[in-house]
Amino acid sequence: MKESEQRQIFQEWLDGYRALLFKVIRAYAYSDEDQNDLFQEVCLQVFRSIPNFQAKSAVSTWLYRIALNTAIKWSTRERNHSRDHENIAEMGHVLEAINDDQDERLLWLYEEIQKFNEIDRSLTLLLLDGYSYKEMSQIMGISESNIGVKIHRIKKQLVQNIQKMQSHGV
Amino acid sequence: MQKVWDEQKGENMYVINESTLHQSVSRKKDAASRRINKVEIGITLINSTVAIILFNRALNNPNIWDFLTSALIGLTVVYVLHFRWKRQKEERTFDRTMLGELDQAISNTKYIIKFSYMMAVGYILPMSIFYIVQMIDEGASLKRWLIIGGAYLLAFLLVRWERRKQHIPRKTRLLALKKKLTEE
Repeated sequence: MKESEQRQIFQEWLDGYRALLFKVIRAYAYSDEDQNDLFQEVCLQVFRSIPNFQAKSAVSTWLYRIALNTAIKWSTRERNHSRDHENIAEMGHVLEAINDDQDERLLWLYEEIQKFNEIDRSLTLLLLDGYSYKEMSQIMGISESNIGVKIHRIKKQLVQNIQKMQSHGV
Repeated sequence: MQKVWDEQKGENMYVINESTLHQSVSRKKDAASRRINKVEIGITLINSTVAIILFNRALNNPNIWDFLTSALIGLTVVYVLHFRWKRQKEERTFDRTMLGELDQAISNTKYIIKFSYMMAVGYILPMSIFYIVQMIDEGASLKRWLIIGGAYLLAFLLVRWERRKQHIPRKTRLLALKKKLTEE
């Protein structure tokens, strides 16, 4: 595959699926610096994955797998290692957060997602974006029954936290 | 909760500086050679060159030590290439799911731990013993003892340090991640 074709596909995917990437970034990185770092890392892995994409799955499924995998590995202290080898000033700011008035409930939801471990964060994002257990199983590589058990635990935790929040009147 | 999630305008969360992004991806892509590839190719090239130089020197000025050293260094090149071929063959068997990629990352890390151990025990240590015997045989000066001995000791300690401080902790983190993914 020519690099020009790869770049074109990358741009098409970025234009069509940036919301998906942003959700992953927001769930796994908190500070501006971390979000910039993770986003660049995710984009690099997406770019590198293009020649291997065989259209056996939807583009969104493919991108979710790449983004979540990258974010999970990044969040287990990979980020410190990679950033140490790069001049912070050279990284450049690729992302700038738009600070529109956001729904407080959405802000709360992202905070709750960020409290989960790396794997459960992935599953929560996939669940909220409407992926079936079968699709999640194909992305994660674990059985549907295992997915079911984890999702049940995540839902229970979220419901408990919602009830706590409502009872405290936040 | 689902309603709140569905109503979010995800694409409006951030503004992307696209030219900076493309520059960043290009830069990282060009620099993103895998750790293992760098080590394998580096050792292969350096050792092949050294083995050829020593062998030529031994041909022009017959010296048993040069012959033996070039043979030993040549063997390490064969060894590294064999391991590289085995690793690349194994990489093609991993499936393209998150678990598959995690298994591949774990396998690569285990490989690099084993490789660095073999470098210390199977290369640096025998080469240092070999040079000690050669220096005794040739009656080397104190200066040569200090330089050669110091260099080998430093190499041994650095390889050992890298294995303990970087590769082993990385393997531990990846295994913990796999455990979180696969346990119910």
